[in-house]
Amino acid sequence: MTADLIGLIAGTLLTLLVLSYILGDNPLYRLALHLLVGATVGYGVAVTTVTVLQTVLPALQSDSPDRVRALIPLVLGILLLFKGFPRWSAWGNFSTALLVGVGAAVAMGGALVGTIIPQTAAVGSLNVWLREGSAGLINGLIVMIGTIGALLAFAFAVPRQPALRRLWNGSVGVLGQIGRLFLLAALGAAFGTALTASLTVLVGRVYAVVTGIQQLLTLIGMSSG
Amino acid sequence: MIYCPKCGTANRQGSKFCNECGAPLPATGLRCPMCGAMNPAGNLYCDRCSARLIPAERVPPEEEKPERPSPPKGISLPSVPLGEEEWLSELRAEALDLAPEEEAPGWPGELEAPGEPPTPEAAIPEWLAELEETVPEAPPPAEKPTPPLAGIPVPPSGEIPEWLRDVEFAPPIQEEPSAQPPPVAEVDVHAGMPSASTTVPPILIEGEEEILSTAPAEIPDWLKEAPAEAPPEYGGLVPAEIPEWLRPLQPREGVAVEEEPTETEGFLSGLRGLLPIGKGLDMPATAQPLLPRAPRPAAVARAELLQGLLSRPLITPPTAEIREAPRQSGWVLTRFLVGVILLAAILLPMLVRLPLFGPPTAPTAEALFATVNHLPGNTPVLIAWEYGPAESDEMDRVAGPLIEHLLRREARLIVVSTRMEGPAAAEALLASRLVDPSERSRRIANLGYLPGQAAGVREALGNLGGRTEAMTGLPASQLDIMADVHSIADVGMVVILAAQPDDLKTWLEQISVANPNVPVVAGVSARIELISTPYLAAGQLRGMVAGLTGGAVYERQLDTGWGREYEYYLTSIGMAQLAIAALTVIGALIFLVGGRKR
Repeated sequence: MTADLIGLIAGTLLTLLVLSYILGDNPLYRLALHLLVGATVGYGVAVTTVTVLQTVLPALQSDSPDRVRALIPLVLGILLLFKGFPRWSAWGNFSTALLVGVGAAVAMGGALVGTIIPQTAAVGSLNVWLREGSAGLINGLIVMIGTIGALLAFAFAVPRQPALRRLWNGSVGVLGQIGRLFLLAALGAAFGTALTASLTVLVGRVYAVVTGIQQLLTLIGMSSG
Repeated sequence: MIYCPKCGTANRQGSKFCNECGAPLPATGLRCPMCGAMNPAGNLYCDRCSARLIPAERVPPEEEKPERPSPPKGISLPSVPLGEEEWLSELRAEALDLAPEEEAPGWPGELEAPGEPPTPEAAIPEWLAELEETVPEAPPPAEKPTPPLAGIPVPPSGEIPEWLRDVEFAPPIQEEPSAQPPPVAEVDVHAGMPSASTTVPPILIEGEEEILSTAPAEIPDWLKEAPAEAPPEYGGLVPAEIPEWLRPLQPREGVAVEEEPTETEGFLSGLRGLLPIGKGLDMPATAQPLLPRAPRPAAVARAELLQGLLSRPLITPPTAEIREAPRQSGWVLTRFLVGVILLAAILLPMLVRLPLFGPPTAPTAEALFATVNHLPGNTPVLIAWEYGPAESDEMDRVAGPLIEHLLRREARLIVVSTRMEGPAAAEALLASRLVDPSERSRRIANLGYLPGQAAGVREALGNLGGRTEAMTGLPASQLDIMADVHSIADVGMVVILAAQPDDLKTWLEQISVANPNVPVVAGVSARIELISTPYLAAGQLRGMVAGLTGGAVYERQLDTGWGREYEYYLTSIGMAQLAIAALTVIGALIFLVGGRKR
């Protein structure tokens, strides 16, 4: 109960300090900001250390084949620490290369299989459009025109020959203008959803402050009563 | 390489005609000190790299004539006195156009006009004085007839006439040998000058010795007639004869110069023998250190401007401070008013129940509810908990009903996160939704943080049993809940709770690679609802709860008793959006009515 009470008071106070930014940058807001950054960094270091040590150290103490498997990442991790010292930073090159290479390979493979191919197949499939009737067909056409137009909206070069330039402006230019409309709509929708998410957080904080004050008043009333 | 003067094509060294246009190539040239390319004699700049071929100090300024240009060290320039176009054009005009009578105002006029005899020191120019020092002194001839030009007064200024200065270094004109060679060594400008038998060493440019030595000297007709007349005497001085080396340069009329080479191109076209082309001209291959060139006025102006900019003090102009001061107070007031209006709009539904907005609708949430409702009991469900305390105000209300539904369906929840604060946020929500805390070890396994982003996700999907429970520190293999779960293949459903688009994409992509057949559902923030929708349309997501609206719909279907809180949230958000819209309209009107001042 005491921990909950401390947490309630600290949370309410820090929320009020952050909300003081309405009046502009001020020391109270800075105090809350520094506390947040410091707590986040400290928590991150603690979590990372515990996670890594809990995984590696028990394996090193055992006699199983996991000992060798744990030794390799440990050595690579130690070599990576040399990156902090310019004189010996070359020792960490192999670890860095391994990290970047493996990360890029995994991300590329996932993007290809999980996003590019399925999304392309879904957008370009006429069967999918027809399966949902006229509404699906219209939706598919809108998606196709919007995709092509958005891509052509970034075509800024024009042919040098006058005839080709007129043809280009009449086709690519018009589609590009349509694509810009789609981009505007998409950016507006993205802004609207972001605003909604931010307002949700603000409502939650205000709700938490009001609830915390009510609980504090209840506790004070109970203690006095 | 020799570059064609017409088309600029590079031709092999020694070529006589251009391989491209057939134009004759210059036989001689100057080697560029920078790139080594051969250039036609007469070029001031390299045709290939535009580097200066002749040192800058050799080119005189336009206004002033060079008093005595000396060739650069080690370079012979007998044929092309570069940078002296003006005096050459004067020479051409004198040689071709001007009549001898018209030249009278020039140097002959000055020579013939009697004037105040200057003192020897004042009359002798510097270059003559240098000559005097180099020539051995000889007694003047006593009885010889005085040369017609002996004792001619030099201009009082003590300077050589301009054209003489110019032609002093010009190569001699090779004239046709005369039948009667003139008296060569009659130099006697004044007392003390070389006698008749003395040969005055001409001032030669290196490499010109042969040309000058073979150039015959001839007295023109007007000079030949001069001795018939009585030579005038000027204060005891007798006119001296023109030095031998000056004589060929003397303006004359009707001199046959058929054998001399005639210039056919360029500004020298029509002149004869002025610029005999020497052979084998070359510049040293290595660049000689040059004296610093005088900076151009434009460069000096730019340098001064840059220096002025750099020397300015690094302070904000006072005008900006003055402009900032009144704006600061107005800005704070505006922000305060906006904040107060927003807070009032948010707090009002808490005080008064406002039925302004109808019940929310979210078809995707209803589809997700149906999917979870058909989940068999005791099914292991992998939950990717990708949000922290900063997004928990929204995401807890998105994930809460879904988690409670899974708990109601007796699912085993296996929680992992690629965000460091994810496991703690998960633990807080799970504790609030779990009715019986003693059931936690049987229903929930929090496997904690997954380092390594996409690679970490991929590794975890293939080795769920090899991880450690974050709260208890026990290996996952020892947990009852993980008894038959070793990888993604053993999981009945995957739930992705993401507040950022990258987290959703990472999990979806890696699951598609590891096990594309496992059903995946998501609870996402309203911020990434648009990005998540294509995955839902493509069938990669079986259902989705997006934002507070989706959470409210799911909560209503589940009927967990949190409906009042969701209603307050939705009403507050609606009121805040209305307030923002009103403020935007008011601000636009003020902007339009009050003027477009910043």
